[in-house]
Amino acid sequence: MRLMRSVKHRNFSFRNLFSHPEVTIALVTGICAVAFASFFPNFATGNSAQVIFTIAGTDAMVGVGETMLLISGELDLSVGTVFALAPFLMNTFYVVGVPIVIAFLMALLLMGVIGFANGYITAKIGVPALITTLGMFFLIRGLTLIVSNFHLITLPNIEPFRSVVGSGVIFETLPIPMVWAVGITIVVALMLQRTRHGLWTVATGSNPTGAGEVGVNTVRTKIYNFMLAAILAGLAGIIQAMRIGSAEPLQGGFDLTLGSIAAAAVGGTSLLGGSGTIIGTLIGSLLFGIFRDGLIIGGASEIVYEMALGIAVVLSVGLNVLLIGRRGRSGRQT
Amino acid sequence: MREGAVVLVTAVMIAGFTSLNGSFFTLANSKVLADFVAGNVAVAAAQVMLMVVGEIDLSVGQVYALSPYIMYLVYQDGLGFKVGIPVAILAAALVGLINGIVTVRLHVPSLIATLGMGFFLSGFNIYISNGWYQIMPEKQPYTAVFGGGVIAGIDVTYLWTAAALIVLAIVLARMRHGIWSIATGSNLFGSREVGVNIRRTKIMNFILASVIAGVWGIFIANRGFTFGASGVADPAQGGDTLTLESIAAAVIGGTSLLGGSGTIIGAFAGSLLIAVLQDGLILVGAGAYIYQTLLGAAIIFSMALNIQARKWARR
Repeated sequence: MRLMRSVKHRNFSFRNLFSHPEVTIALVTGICAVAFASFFPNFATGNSAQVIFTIAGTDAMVGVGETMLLISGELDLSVGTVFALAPFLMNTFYVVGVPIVIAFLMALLLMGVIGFANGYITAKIGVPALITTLGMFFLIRGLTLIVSNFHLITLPNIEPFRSVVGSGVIFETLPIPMVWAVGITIVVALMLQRTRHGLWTVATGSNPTGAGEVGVNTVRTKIYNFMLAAILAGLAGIIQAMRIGSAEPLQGGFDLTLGSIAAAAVGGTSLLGGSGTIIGTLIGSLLFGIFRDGLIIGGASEIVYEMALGIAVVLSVGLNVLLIGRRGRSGRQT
Repeated sequence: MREGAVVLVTAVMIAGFTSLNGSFFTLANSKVLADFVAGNVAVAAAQVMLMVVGEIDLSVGQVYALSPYIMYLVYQDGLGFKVGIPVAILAAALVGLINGIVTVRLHVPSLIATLGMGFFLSGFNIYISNGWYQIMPEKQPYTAVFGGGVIAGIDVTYLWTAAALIVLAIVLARMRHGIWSIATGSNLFGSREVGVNIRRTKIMNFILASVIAGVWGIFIANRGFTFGASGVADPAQGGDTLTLESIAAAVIGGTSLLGGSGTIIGAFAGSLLIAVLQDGLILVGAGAYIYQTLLGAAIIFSMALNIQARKWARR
């Protein structure tokens, strides 16, 4: 897997260009942005752009983790609640006297433990990821409510930690969450392309049995990806909480989970495993952010967005399956 | 044998809760438990039918609220329940059909298809109701038949539920659709080769699941009439909690998502366990979210157990 999906071509042609899913989604995103901007002048302001980048930034981070998992053939429904738990954990550590940066790292470490649990139960014990992470979703939500005692908390306003992690803005338009998202996208994309783990991820997803036979440790690969997804989700949750200044136990949730899977699917990652693009997920998140902001500015209510999201997710996955082709994995799909 | 283990755990829980709060072991509380089970177990059984073919439906909780409200709206339009009830059931069937077609024809994994549908419906439910519940009008005999009546001291809903469970159990064990479902779930390609119509089997189970969710939603909406109050058309009825509970009941009762195995009696046992769990937690004063947490853990644990049992059985 290259940074852009590798396709052997001799000459440049538009057909070859569009064989990269990233290009298609980037184009669609660009068209949407222009369309919204021309219909709703309010859309094209720096303020609006900031809002879009901020939301898309956190969504993208979660999406990137989800993408790696999808490529390896699994998925994680619990990211939405892990997102909510992390800031509360960090705050708990801080309140008992741990320095904020250490608290931050400890929270992320615990996210890794959760990811490990997801991965172990799914890959080692064999419980389908759907069930494991569905159960974990509610388990973690319950934990979050217990830790938070059911209400939101205000997070410590410690500089420069707060600016670096959440509330800073670069060049007046680029919010820090987006900077984090882009950075993480690049790192993970490189990991997918150039490291053994990345190679093993793709192998595990496209042909688990075959990969196992040539020496790929599919179990370990999947566990690592579950841990990555949980850590990134926790990181995104902390970043958002630091930006807003408070954390709410019910934030994220199914919305976030669904959004991250949708962004990955729309960006070109196959839900059946074996192929995917990290950059595509980032662009997909941007597209959803633009859509949401555009709909709100256009005056549509949140309900419309929810209905549209449901339809959009199903359509985008359907399209995804259609274009990328059905990957028949031994006895699993029609 | 599996169901026996579940019943045992339930018995232990009953003993435990009773020791913490004596009012658990009373007649009044058993009515509460029965109500809870009646509202859930049919949907759980429907979920079993789907999981047997290797699929799942995350939108049942929303259909549970959709059908009663549509029934209410049609009635308000002056067409009465005679039209309202069929329309409501048809709407549920339509949802199931879409779920089935998207999964089977468009090859969107049922998880995503029904999750998206669930999302869509939750928005839709709020849209058609403006977020408010309405008092359900009473029109005999429809109201009595569809959940509001009491026969010889037993709620009509219990009778419907018992009948449905028996029918589903027979279908799964003895009738062609049930056999085909099990075949589809355990060996997809092999079944197709011996002539099983896997597409139709799956789609039918999707429709079945949604229709059951819708009809029982109507029963529950009319439940108020059984004790002298009035029914309620509530867009928030069921919801994510019901979806989770139906899956939990199925899984705890021994159904594996991997397909090919599952029992209706297991769904009943699982549903009973969950009812005891929730009711017990309320009576000892624990919070509602503790329930969700434990439910989540129970699902994972039961599923892991199911899979281990399968591995042992294979040796």
